[in-house]
Amino acid sequence: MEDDFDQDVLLDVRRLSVTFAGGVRALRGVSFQVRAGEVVALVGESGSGKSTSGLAVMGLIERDRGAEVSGEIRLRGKDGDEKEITGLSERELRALRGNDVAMIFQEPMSSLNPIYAIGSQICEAIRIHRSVSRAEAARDAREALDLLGIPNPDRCMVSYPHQLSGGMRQRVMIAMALACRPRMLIADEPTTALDVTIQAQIIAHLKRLQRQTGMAILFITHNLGLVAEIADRAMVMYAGEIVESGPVADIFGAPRMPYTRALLQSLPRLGVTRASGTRIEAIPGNVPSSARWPSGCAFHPRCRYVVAGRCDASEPMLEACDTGRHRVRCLRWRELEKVAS
Amino acid sequence: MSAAESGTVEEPLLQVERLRTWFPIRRGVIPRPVGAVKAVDDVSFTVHRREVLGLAGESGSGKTTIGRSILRLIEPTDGRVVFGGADVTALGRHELRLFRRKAQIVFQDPFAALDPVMTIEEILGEPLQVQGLAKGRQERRDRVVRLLESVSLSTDFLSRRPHEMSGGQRQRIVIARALAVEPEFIVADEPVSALDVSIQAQIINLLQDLRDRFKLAMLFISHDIAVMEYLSDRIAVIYLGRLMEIGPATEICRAPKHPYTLALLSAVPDPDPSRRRTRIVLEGDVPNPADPPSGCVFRTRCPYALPACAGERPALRPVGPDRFVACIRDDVL
Repeated sequence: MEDDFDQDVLLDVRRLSVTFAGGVRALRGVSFQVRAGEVVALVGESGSGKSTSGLAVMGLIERDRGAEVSGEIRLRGKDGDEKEITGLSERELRALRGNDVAMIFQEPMSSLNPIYAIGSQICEAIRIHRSVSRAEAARDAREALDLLGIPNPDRCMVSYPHQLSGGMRQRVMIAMALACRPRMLIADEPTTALDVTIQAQIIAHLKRLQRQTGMAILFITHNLGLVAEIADRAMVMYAGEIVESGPVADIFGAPRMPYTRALLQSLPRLGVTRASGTRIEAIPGNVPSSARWPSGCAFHPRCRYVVAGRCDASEPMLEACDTGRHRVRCLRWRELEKVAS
Repeated sequence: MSAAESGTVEEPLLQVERLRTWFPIRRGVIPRPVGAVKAVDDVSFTVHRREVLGLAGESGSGKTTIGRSILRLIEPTDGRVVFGGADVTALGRHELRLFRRKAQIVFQDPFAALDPVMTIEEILGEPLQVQGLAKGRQERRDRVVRLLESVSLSTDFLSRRPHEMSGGQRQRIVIARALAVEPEFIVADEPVSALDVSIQAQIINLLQDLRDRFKLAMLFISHDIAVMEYLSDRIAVIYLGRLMEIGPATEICRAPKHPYTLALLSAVPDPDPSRRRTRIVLEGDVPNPADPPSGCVFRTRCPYALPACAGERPALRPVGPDRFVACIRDDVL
């Protein structure tokens, strides 16, 4: 694994496993790093464990409800200190959240309080983390809204969540998350509930702010198109594991894992029509359930390159291929390279 | 528009003429209408036999309302819907039932569309019974088995209930149920949007196969224009209850003639990092359909808007074979 722990690494997750009550193994030994200023995408289908990974980094897995978290999640804070998230108390976590690492979710309505004006909610978030006056907090809140291209920030400050459209609410959430200038943002499907034209606006603002502030983003999504658009590096998840990771150009240009390849081929794209004679290739079968993962390679029941007695028997490791930054979890990736070319 | 399309010899299966579906807004102690949400406002198009027409638009564009108004699941306010020569808007209860044997709907959410307490055999047998299409239990079962086969599900599913199935399997059942009455026309309202990427492709290919096998015409409603280009013969682009552009799917996607279509296409994230396109990012939100802008409804977000766009509502003008666009700017695209 990536063992070199250099100064650039903001987040270092090692062998992270999460088991929910009832024995549902949502994550099975996930390891990855996020460097300062880097945009990393965690991409996968429902149940792949991508959201659980984000929640674990935020310390939001509820252990008191019987969930078990093992492994290490080390985060370098603003003060330069390294914190082990899995060992922090709720109080220490609260100091960390928003300040060092912030998170935005798919549905902004459920994250906003319906009975308070937008301005006071952002100010509250700022004043929890920074000892500033009410006036200063209001000024920063207004500026944060302005930065996200909200047309009339003053009016937005006195609006209530229900008065805003879905796109505006999501901008407010991002403004709130960024108001304390975290070094890292975890964005869990932030634009999935929005229309494509609104999604394009929000992604454009996120990219610009990321460049300006140099914050790192862990971008969680099921949308491969968005990954190509926003990320430097991508990690593909399947059945609670990372099955392929690497620079976005490698993942899309030369995918090694049969799952990644199949996923890319199953995607309808503009310009691909029936008239042009191309048929999109569907992946057979169903997304496996976390209650019972398949044996061996979790993708083997749906893989067109499966070898009985091998793929269902031994678990593949995440191995380095190509440049070394590209990693793949497949027993047959070397053989399949010849098939592909 | 039917006049302009008269080049085609065959009578269209479905003609939608100046369809309006307005929802009244009522206010006051004794509620009285104070205005209306113009969900669908003066939309006309045709669907030919065995043709798939894609209806593209974002949330609030009225695309779902159009689909439901055609089937009279929502009563249209004005306009005509002519199906196989008969005016659907004038049908009585009995005739409406006969119409629904020919025209069916597939909903987006396969979780909400199926009764959780019924078995799959009951779910698929019900429309056969309602429409009197199978005599006796044995014949009904035979037909249900054939329906399952047509959506590539085994007979193991007969006794199962919806909660025991995955999202993709449920959507297959929803499709099989629509096919049970052997319709000529299906309104497919976002049939793949709730599904995982790897499952989406299965259902898209299934719809493609069924369309060929059962000679179906389809109104394919989606916000995903890439899926739509793949499945549709023609595409109609809807914005704020109005038709912006209509024409052959490949043409619309390759060379859009309406600024909104261009913006919609350029907003689709491209899963190819080596291809970087110039993107038109629309500012602002979709206006309130209860108080739409005057003239062209898209002008408030249009990068090419002129003062004249606020004047008259732009009429559909022909811009090529079978292509029409509602935009007065003939000089930009």
